[in-house]
Amino acid sequence: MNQGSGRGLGTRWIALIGLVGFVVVALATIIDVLLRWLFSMPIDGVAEISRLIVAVSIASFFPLALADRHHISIEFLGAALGARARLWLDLIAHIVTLIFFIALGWQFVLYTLEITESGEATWVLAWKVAPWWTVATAFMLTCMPVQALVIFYHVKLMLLGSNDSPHPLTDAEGKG
Amino acid sequence: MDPIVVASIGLIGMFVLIALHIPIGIAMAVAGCVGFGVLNGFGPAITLVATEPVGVISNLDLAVIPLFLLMGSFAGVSGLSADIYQLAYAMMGHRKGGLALATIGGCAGFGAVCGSSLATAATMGRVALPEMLKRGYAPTLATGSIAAGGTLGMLIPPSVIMVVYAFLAEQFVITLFIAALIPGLIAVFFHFIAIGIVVRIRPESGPAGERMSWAERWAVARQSWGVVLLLVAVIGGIYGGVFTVTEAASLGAGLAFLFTVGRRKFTAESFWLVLKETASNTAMIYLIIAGASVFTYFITTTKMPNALVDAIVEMNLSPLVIIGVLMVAFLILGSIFDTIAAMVITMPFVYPLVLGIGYDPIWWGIVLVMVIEIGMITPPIGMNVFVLYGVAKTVPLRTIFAGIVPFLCADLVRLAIIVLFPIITLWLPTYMGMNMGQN
Repeated sequence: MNQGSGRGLGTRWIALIGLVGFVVVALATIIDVLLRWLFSMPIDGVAEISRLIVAVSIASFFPLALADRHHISIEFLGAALGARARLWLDLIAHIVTLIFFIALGWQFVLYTLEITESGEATWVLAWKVAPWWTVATAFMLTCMPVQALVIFYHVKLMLLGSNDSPHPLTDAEGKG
Repeated sequence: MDPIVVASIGLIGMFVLIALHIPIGIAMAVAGCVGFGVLNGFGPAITLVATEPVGVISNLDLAVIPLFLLMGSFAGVSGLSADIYQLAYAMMGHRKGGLALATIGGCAGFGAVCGSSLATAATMGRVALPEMLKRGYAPTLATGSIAAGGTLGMLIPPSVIMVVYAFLAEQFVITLFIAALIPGLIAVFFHFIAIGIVVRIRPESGPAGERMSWAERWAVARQSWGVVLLLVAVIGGIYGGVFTVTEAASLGAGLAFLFTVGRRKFTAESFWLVLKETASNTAMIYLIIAGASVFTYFITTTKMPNALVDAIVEMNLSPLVIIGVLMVAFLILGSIFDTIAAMVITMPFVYPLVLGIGYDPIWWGIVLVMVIEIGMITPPIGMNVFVLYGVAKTVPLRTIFAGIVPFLCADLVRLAIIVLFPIITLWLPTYMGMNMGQN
């Protein structure tokens, strides 16, 4: 296992951006409530800015979830067919996941290009939407190399019959 | 090709993909996208992969999910779960089976700051199980009360699964939260009765603890002020109409974070743990919602749900019989699938059917959560049981399943009551003038 690759991808740090985003949304919401109560002066455009931050934040969580192989899936078939079959089924699942995220990333790029060209902006504050979606799209594109690495480690496990860790990407980071 | 045939093939395809270990959200998205492509062309189909996820990740109503998850994670690392348990124990520990009662109370309280059954079972398993075993409780009662109490996490608001249901069913989440209150309290009450019956039959299974004086109880209550404040702020804020759900979630996450810092539990290790839990669980839930959105869009365009409703209505079956059949199906699904997965996979078909036979979508949301929650402790799988087994380690799986039986019986009786008398669920939101089910 190459620890450096896990660190280099830095999925934890990307997710940290998302966490900070949610802290900002939470703080802005609390301050908005307080100002509305105390001075009848809510902050203009909190909802629309929150919507943008939330989109970026959620997108930032995907690379970590992929690196962590954190999915809701049913693994009865693999359990019934034995260890070898289970590894093959997992490989199929990892490959389909990669294809899905390639399609998702591609569509996010197209969507971002579209809103960049249209100059879409928020209603109240007239903030440009495109820069936010560019960041969200960048995070979605990060999912591709992360998932490719997941496949790499899985194939390595299948070929060598052992692995340094069941979750080499996040474990490597976790040691940081 | 006939759209109904395509929908059927799409449905089978989705289950095949799920069987092949493919994450459920992705299986739904792929089946929905391919099915839609067969009917309408693959150009429009592939754009679904962008439009639905974009709509999902920028939805502010769904943003309460990571905020509640954040609140639950911080509440866990700051030790608030232990506080709830201690508080419940101070009030009930002197009774026979008092620790088990305290566990149910603790689960209900922690469920209110956590919103997840698995997290509640795992957390309370670490807090309550060693305590009960140390004081001579029968392992069956000890583990059964935790596994069953854990299910309260998704029924007692705020509940992550209710947020997902509200989004997919296009209902107001606050109405669901309010509707869940009475069924949630009934659930706690019925679990208390189950414990009462167990200790009456086998008094040695739950020996009474020492009675605390009121001064001691007050001291425990003062120590637990943090969790009380959090509960009052979040639950009280939502029920009192003071906050919207998003505002309550923001406040809850902020307060839980402040408690973590104030109690000097905010370490690098706890921070990364919270980050990892919140990020991974959020991404997992969003992926499944995005996949469900694509699949639902496809299924809706085939008009298969309408055909299904028409076919079942033509059979002239009693609505109660249909609901009964659905209950059995969901108990089986809930014992095999993850809670959210069981709900979203069936949503495109079952939701129109339930509405088609005249039931209220808010009532169905609560019943659905309850039946899936019961599935989580139903053999042979029962996710909560396995989570607790992972925490308990020394207690055999069959002991936990044996301990579940009284609670399972209590849950089934409660479910029957809630199904037979929808007014129990709908009275409070109607009384409070909430926006009711939108058909």
